[in-house]
Amino acid sequence: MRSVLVWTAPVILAVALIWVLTDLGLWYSGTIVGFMMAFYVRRTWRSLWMTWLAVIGTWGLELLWQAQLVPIGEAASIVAGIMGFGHSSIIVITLTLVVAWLLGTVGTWLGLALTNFLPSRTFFST
Amino acid sequence: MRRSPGWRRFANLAGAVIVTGGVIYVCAVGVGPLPGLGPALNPARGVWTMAKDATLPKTESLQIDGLNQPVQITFDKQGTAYIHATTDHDLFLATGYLHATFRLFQMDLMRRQGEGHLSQVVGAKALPSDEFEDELGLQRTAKQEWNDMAQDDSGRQALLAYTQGVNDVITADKRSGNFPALFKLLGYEPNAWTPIDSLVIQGDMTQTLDFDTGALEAALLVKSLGYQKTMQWFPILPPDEQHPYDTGPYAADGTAPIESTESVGQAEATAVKSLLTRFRTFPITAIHHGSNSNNWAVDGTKTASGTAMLAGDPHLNLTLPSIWYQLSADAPDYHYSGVSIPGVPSILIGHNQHIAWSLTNVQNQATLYYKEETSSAHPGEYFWNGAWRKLKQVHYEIPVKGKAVVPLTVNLTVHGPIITQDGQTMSVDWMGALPSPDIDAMLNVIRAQNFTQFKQALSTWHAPSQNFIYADKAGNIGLISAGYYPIVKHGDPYLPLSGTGADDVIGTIPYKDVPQAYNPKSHILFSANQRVVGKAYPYYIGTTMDFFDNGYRADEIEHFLATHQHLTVQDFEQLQNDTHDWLAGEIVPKLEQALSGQALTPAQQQAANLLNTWNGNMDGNSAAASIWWTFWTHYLSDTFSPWWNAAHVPTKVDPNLAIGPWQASLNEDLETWTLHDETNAAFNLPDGTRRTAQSVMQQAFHETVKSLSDRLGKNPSDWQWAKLHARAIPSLAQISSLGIPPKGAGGDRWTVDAADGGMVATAGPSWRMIVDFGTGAEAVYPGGQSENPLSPWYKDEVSAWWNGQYYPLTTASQVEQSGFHPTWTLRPGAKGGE
Repeated sequence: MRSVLVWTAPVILAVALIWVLTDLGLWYSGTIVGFMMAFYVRRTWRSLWMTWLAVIGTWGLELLWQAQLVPIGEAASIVAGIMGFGHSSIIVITLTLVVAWLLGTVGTWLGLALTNFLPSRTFFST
Repeated sequence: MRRSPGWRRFANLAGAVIVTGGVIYVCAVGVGPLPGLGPALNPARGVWTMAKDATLPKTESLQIDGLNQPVQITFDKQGTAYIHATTDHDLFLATGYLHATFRLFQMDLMRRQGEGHLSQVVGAKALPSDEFEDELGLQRTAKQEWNDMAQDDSGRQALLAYTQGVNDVITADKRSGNFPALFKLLGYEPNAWTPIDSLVIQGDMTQTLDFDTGALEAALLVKSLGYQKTMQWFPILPPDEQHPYDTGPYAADGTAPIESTESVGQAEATAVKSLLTRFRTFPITAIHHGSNSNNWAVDGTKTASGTAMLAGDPHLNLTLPSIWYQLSADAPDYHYSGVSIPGVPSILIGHNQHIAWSLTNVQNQATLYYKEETSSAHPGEYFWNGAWRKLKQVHYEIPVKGKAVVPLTVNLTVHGPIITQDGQTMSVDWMGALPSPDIDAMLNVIRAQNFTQFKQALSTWHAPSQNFIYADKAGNIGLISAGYYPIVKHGDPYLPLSGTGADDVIGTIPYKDVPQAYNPKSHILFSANQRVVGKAYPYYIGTTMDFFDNGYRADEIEHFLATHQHLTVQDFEQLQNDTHDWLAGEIVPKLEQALSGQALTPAQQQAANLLNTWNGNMDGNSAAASIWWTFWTHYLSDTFSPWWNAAHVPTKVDPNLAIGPWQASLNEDLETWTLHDETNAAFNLPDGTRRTAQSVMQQAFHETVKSLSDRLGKNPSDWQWAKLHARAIPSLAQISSLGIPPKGAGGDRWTVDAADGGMVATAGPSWRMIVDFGTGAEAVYPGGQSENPLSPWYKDEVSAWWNGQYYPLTTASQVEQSGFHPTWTLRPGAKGGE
């Protein structure tokens, strides 16, 4: 039970934080959260996976939530046309999630690179 | 966690910092053609808000800063807004609020174009346009217009209230991150609106309708063809019969006859070529390219309802979103319905409770070019009126996306800005650069109740010169061509003039003498860009080359109105959607005569048979229409190309000089010679080989059949016009996926339902309106009320427009009785009104 909480709580908190910050216009909040996650977790792949889950999950959930109310797929199709990708909505939606992934990844990498200079911690090493 | 060696940790950190910084930077500002994807794709504030903004308005109450009293705005099914305001101030504020809510990106783009700030958002490719706009000085003119307005001026008050309404939306969008998607994809947010911006947009329209290159093109023709042939083939007065609406009698006091220059020097030609080459890189709206429009009115003796009727369809470049935003209003001093231009607080075309009006372009010459005398011995000076004068300088800084700011110094002479120093220093004197209180004039038009007030209101309208048609509830009709018509004291105004002072503008045609008519005996009035006055008119207003239309649409309209009685709205609909080609009706019988007795191949005979049984309508499914148009194109070319080739007319410098149906003068010449002068010397070849209209027609017909066979197959009945000719509605932002692609269509540049701009026509009726004071009004335009491509109101009227259908111009109370009538109640916000 404890290990589940240790995994899920930070991800849920991260999702909430990213959601609020992106709503305020801070599109790079995934980078901030990835950075924080690296400090919290300090293990390369675990921090990356938790960050990815949080950033892609948040941006994906936001789009899914909006899609219940408004035609997000059509918006993606129009943006694809403007960007010169034909009318493929899936490209723009994928691109959105790739941007989220990239922002989270670089934040986590930066965090991990800094934690290399800190004393070792065994919080997540069990 | 096993620790890495120290150098690897530092290298890792350095790599992380660099890559993170790089990713954030690229996501923020974009790379290559891609925008900054971070803010653009942010699911909460990025382009995705387009979906939420596309939802149709719902009934709700909104707090708006600057209002005096609550305002109600009701929307009908097409999104037409019905404003009910209890003060005039609130009416204009609500208009600004509506325009910005539905057309903010369009407004920003239009002000940027006029203010020379396009490069700031689209990059260096717009720099030539920005530099030219700064030279031309729309912003200088706008500032002067603003400064000329008195504090209590109704136009000034309208602009201030309108500005507040626009800024209410900008402020709210900034707070919520809800700017239209194209701002996000281009990576910028709009600045606050100012009254100057509205006046610049007024200037944009003036430029599109009034800034022309006719004198430059004439100079190249004189240089290549020679003065005599140029004036013979591009005369001042049209050789064909036209239908001027003002037939006189005219004022006795005109101007002295024009004195001819007869030559164009090499330096002048170099300057002209340089300018025309430069102009080709500008947006299509920067130079007047001969857009066409129609309007007409009949009094009650001609109508079924017994009251006056009026119709208007201004022809402009068609875009999505449209140039027009439709609205109706009720306020203490204003009760109107019509179309407005986003960015400008009043409607431009429409009706009030008493009168209706519409516009067409006069097409008179409003752009004069001056050859300035300069000398290396007098740097920074020009010679004028016997002395060297200091050039006035204005300095600009043009921000360019991704690059350093570009400084620009504009040199001004007494005539206007210097626009080239290549070969010959040349300046331009454009009537649109003179302050014109158009907004005041328009507000007075909207409040007018009779022709006297209407005419008085337009006395201050200077540019662009427009044919304002009028009809009223009392049954009167009128037409007045308001605007500046410059008078020069000497020289050929249709060529670049001397800048030394001898050829200066000494005034304009007095308002009492500008073309006008009121309740004519014919009971009909119409304008379709034809020369609006007869040959006895005592003032110079432009040449056949200077964009006056051939008059074929005017001929068609005159014929229809003169030969019909008991006219109804349906008759006017039929006329507005008419695709009959008047010139074809004149020339095809002559072609048939030329072909009679000739030995024809089976395909030629079949093509001739199709022409024999053709009704002259340029319908999309008509094969005869294809044969006619291709024939006329060949006929023009076969007649004039030998002369053009011999004279080396520089068509590569300016494609407008090439031979084709866009050359109004040449169409009129060939029409007149074919009908009345079949052995005109122009049919001969430059080497003296004799030809006649008949022999050239035969040649052109043979070429036509061959060319259509090669292109569309051997069977002439398969040569439908819609296979050659299409209409398209491009997006204003030039994004192909946001426009309507070419679709086969009927009409041509001379039909009342005009299709202008080539074989893929992108200009035409931008608004069709019919007002019958007996039965009501209706209208349609090719677009929709919203600029949001996802909105149901983005292009919902296009289908009706394409099919010749209309929507009623209803009142707010009629809309409220319909099933769909969401209403916004705008309430004064915390900041209250002024």
